[in-house]
Amino acid sequence: MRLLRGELLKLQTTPRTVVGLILPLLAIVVLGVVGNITGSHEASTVVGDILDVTGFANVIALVLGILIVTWEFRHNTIAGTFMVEPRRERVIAAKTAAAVLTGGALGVVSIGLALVMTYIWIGGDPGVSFDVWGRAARMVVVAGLFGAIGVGLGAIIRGQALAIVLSFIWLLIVEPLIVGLYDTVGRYLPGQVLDRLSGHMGDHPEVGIGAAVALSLAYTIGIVLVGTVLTDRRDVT
Amino acid sequence: MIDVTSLTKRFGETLAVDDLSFRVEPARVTGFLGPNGAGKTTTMRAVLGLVRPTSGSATVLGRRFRDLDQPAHRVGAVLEATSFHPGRSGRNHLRVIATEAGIPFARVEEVLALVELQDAARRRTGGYSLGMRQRLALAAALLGDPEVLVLDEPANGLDPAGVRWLRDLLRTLAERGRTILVSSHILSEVEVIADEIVIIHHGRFVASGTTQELVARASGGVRVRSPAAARLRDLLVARGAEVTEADGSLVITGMAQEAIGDLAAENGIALHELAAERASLEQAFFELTEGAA
Repeated sequence: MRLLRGELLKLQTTPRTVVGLILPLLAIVVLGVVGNITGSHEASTVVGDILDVTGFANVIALVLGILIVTWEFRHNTIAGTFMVEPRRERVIAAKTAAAVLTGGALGVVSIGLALVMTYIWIGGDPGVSFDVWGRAARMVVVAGLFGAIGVGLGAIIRGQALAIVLSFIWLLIVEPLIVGLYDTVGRYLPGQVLDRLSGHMGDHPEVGIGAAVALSLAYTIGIVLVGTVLTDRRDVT
Repeated sequence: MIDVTSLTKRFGETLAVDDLSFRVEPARVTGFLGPNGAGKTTTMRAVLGLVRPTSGSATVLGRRFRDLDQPAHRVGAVLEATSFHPGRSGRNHLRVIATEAGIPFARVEEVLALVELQDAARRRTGGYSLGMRQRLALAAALLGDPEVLVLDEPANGLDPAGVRWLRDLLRTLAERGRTILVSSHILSEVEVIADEIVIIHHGRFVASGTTQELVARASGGVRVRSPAAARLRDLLVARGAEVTEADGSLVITGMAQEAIGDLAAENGIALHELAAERASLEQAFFELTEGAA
C-alpha cells in the first residue's frame, strides 16, 4: 500500500502532465456529446453513441499508464524508486494498480460528464437504462485495463515517445489492417476484445463476452508480466 | 559496512569492473577514486542493487541490497543530481520517497532544514541550480537516517561554502558511526575529507589505505639549492638519482634527503636549501593510476 500511495502521490504532484491529459479528454467528450445530440435522429440510440465517444478515455488511460513507468526512466528517478523498494516486481505491481485506478477514474469522469450533459440537454428521459449503467461499468473496467497495459508497455519499451507512438501505430494501423485482411484472427486481437468487453458490439458480435473477458485479462496480465520480468532483469545504468 | 568481493561487471564487450574487491568500514569516510570510466559508478550501482554483477558480489551490512529490510532506513545514496521530475517541487519529491518508505512527512521538513533548502522547497526542481539539486539529492539520501551512505560526486556543483558544509556534514555522520563511501574528482577535497581511500583504474583495484599512507607512497622528491648545482647534479646522476631543474633548484627523486646531504658534504658542496617536498593525494593518485595503466 505504501508503494501504491507513493505512485498516486507522484501523479498528484505532477499536475501539469495529468491536467494536460485530462483536458483533451474532456474536450473530446464535450464535442462528441454535442455532435451526437445535435446530429442524432434516433433518440433511442443517442446514449449508446455518446458512450462510444467516452471510449477516448481508454487512449488517455493507456498514455497515462505508459507515462507512469517511462517518466521514471526519462528523469532517472527509477534508481531512487528501486532503492526504496529493490523488489522490482512490487514496484511494477504498484504502478499497475495506480494505472488501473486512474484509468478507471478517467472512465468515470468522462462517462459521468457525458451522461450529465445528455440529461441536462435532452431532459426528462434521455434513455439512461439499466443496460446503459452496465455498459458504463464495463467501460470503466476497460479503461482501467488500458492503464495496466500502458504500464506493461512502458516497462517493456522504456522510451516514452517510442512506447506511445508504437502503441498508437498498433491500435490505429496494424490492428485495423489485420482485422481487414484476416478477420477471423483480427477479432481476437487486444484492441478488438477490449472494445468488445466495453460493450461496443462493433464488427464482431460473434466474439462472446466470456471470451472477451478471458482474452482481455490474458493480454493485460501477459503484457504486465513481460514488463515485470524485463524490469527485474535489466540493469539500471 | 560495504563489502565488494571479486566483483566483475561486463556490459556486452565492455568490461566495466574486473575482479574488484575492497571493504568500506563504519565510522570512516572512504574516498573512492579513479579516472573517468574507471568503473566507480558501476561499482556503486552494483552495491545499491541497480546493476546485476556478472560475477562476484557486493553487500551492504552483510546482505545483498535487495535482501535488506527497509533499505531506505539502512542505505542512502546520491547517484545523479538530475534524478528528479522537473515538474515536481523539492518538498514533494521528498514526500514521494517518504510515502514509499513509510517515513513521516515531519522528517522531510527536518532534512530540508538540514540541507538548507527550506526556502526553495516549494519550487519545481526543474528550476533548481546544480548545487540545489545536489542538496536535494543529499536530503533524499538522509531521509531514512541511514547507517550507510553511498555518494557519487556529491560535491559536484556545490559552491565553496557548500563543499565545506558537505565536508562538515560527512565528518559529523562518520563520527556518529555511519559508513560513508564517497567518490569525487576533487582530489584536494577527498584528501581533506576522507579517512581511507580506494583507488581503481580500468575497473581493477589499484590501491587502498589511509590518505596518509597513500600520500607517503608517492614520490615527493627533495628540493636542493646550491651554488655548485651543476657539479652536484652530475654526482647525483652518477649515484642513480633522477634530477630535474625547477625554479633554479634541483628536484631529486630516487635518493633520500639524508643521502643527498651526505653526498654534498663528502664533496665539499655548499647547500643553501635541502628540503623534502610533501607529496599530495593528487600526485599519489596519478602515480598509482599511471602505474596501473
